[in-house]
Amino acid sequence: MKFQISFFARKLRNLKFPIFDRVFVFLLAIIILAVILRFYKLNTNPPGLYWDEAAFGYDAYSILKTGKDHHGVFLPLFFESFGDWKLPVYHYLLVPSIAAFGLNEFAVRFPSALLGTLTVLLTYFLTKKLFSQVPDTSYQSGVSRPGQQLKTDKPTPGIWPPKPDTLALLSAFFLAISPWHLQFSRGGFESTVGLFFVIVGVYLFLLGLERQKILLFTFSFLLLTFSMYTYHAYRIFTPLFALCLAFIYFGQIKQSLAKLILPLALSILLLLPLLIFTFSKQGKARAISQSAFKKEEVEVARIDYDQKSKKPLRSLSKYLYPTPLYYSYIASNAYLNHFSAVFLFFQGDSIGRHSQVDMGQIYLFEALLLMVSIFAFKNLNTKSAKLMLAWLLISPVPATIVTPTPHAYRTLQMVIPLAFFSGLGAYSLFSRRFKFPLKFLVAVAFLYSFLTYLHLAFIHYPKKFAADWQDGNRQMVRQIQKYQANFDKIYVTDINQVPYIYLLFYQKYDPRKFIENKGTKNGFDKYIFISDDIDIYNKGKILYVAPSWKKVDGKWLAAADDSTRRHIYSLWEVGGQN
Amino acid sequence: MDKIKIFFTILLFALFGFRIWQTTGCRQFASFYFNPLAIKINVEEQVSLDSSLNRSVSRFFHNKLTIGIFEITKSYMQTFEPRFSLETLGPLGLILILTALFKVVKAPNIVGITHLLIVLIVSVFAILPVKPQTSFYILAVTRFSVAFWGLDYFLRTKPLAILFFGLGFLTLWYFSISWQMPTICNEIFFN
Repeated sequence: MKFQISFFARKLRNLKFPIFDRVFVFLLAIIILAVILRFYKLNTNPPGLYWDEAAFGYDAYSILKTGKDHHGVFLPLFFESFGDWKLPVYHYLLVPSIAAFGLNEFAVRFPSALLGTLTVLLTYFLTKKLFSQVPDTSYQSGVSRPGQQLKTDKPTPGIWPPKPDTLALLSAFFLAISPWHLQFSRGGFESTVGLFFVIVGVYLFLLGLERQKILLFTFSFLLLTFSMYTYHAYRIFTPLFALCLAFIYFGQIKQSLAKLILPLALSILLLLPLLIFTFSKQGKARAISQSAFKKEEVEVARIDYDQKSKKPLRSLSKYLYPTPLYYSYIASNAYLNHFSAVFLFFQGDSIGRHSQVDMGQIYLFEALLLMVSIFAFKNLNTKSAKLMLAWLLISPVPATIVTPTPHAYRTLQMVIPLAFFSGLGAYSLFSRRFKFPLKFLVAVAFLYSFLTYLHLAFIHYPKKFAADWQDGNRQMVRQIQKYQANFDKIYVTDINQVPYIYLLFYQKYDPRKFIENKGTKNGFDKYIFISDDIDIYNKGKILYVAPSWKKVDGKWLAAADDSTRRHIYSLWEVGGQN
Repeated sequence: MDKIKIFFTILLFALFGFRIWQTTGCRQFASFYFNPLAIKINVEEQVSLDSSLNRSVSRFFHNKLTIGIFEITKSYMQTFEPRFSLETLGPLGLILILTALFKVVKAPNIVGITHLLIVLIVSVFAILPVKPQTSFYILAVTRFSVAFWGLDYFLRTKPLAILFFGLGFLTLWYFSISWQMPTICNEIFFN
């Protein structure tokens, strides 16, 4: 019997089922971990639905039902949002998600969580591709292949070059557990999707160079173009990164030029509407409002210099403060802020939606791994390593022209090279270079940091950052639904800026009706949205949804609390008693 | 090449000297001092969010030991903030430091490693209750000294030497424009 079992086990192994492949098992475990971390309690954590998410969801719902966004524009290429215009990819990705899961928080966050998980898988494939190729003889004739070793003089002894599979698994693992990537995978954020398109685009590009297939180049360029239609930061990052790719792989690109022309032309053609939009009034609106480069600030700085400096130096201000140079000073400060240890390891982005705030964008123990990776990096010295370094250095560029900085959302692209370098550091550390106690200490630090992250993310975060996610609006709509049948008019305070989108979203209000009746953010149907100082006492019998702190002369009906039981709104019957 | 090296060294000394002179206008230096009270505040703040949780579990995550390590490391790492380094060393100094680091990492030698270790150890002083002005000058001088390691790189070719000169001008402009040095000084007057 024993013999038979071992015989069959041997036979099964010989069939080469991936289940017996150690790498496959590890990769599967990493993906399962990524899925759990990204999908667990996705509808309730983050708490509440931020207004951008609500607008994404309702626009997608509106497109599903009418083919138009909630402003009545047929299949728009750019979506009007609150004070800015959104790029279209996330909206259209939401259409099938909402068709499948309905209009709710889970559906709105689903594409981000799904593509975030797939980014982990793609990180494995990309890293493996980058570091698995063996040098060939063509290098000597000046032609090289992606990922090949450039250093041919003296091979480094020991663990180098690293095993591509292990390095790829480690990179994927660090991305799977990255607090930075998890934060944005768990919300309806466009950047996660943009990053997915970039990583697939780069992977297909490298595959295209290797196999010389025009189809691969076409898909690669299409996906990179899509990334630029996904989130504003990629309008800067993707072209810069494409230039880096072109520079690093110039030799191979020159050889494949004929196969690249058509996909490139197609991309340029597809990018034309985006280019036109970028230079339009709408396209500039957001950039201008958030721009870090304001002439007034240069003037303020110059005056400050004049006032605080003594006479001989005072006259220098006009030479010291030419506008472009001063802007480069601002940009360099903003750029460096993204490499701040406080931002990366201790405090993260100060916006609650963008980080845990009580910890950094990545784990503290990764600081050690990143340091070790510097020493390991010198042994790599491949085009692929250069690509990762370029990726890391270019990532903060989109955030340097706008405020505030450091900004985790606009620089999400950094997570890939950071995961790679952490992986490289871990590989180097655990590949017999260092003594056991250090390895043990790092392992303990990792485990403790990861558990602490889970604690912060699932216990503290929903309590601490409910307000950042505008929690309480769902509860407000539920309370209105209980009482609205008794009233002809419902006045809602706009203290939280755009309550109309929550009434549309949570009531699954018919978009056709909203568009046909020309509903706006100021009112639709029987809902009117008013500022806090408007008199509500001469409007007959109304339901008034007031801010929690406001004293209203009327009959108190109910409270709308957020998930932490913080009182957000009160519902009052006003004018009914007379 | 030796003459150029001497010239570049003098130029670098002059630039760093200019920066040090600028700090004489500083009325109040920014402090990296680690306040132990930060540990207590952090622990209490975090524990208060665990009201529904078992106290032992809460204490496992929020205790003086781990939060202490976190807070001390945070204060220490602040002395290596890139903006602080840029404001202290200027663009040329920062590039020289990176070049020096690259040089030591690429071909480790005992002097270079010892020098880097000194920088790491000296930075500990900044988080101790030392006068902020003193700790700044200690930090600045040790980093200036490391920057000189990178000088050789710019002496290799003529274009690199020209680049060095250009970066020197850029640094002079940078030092003039960033005279307020917000990461170094809380209050300053341009002397």
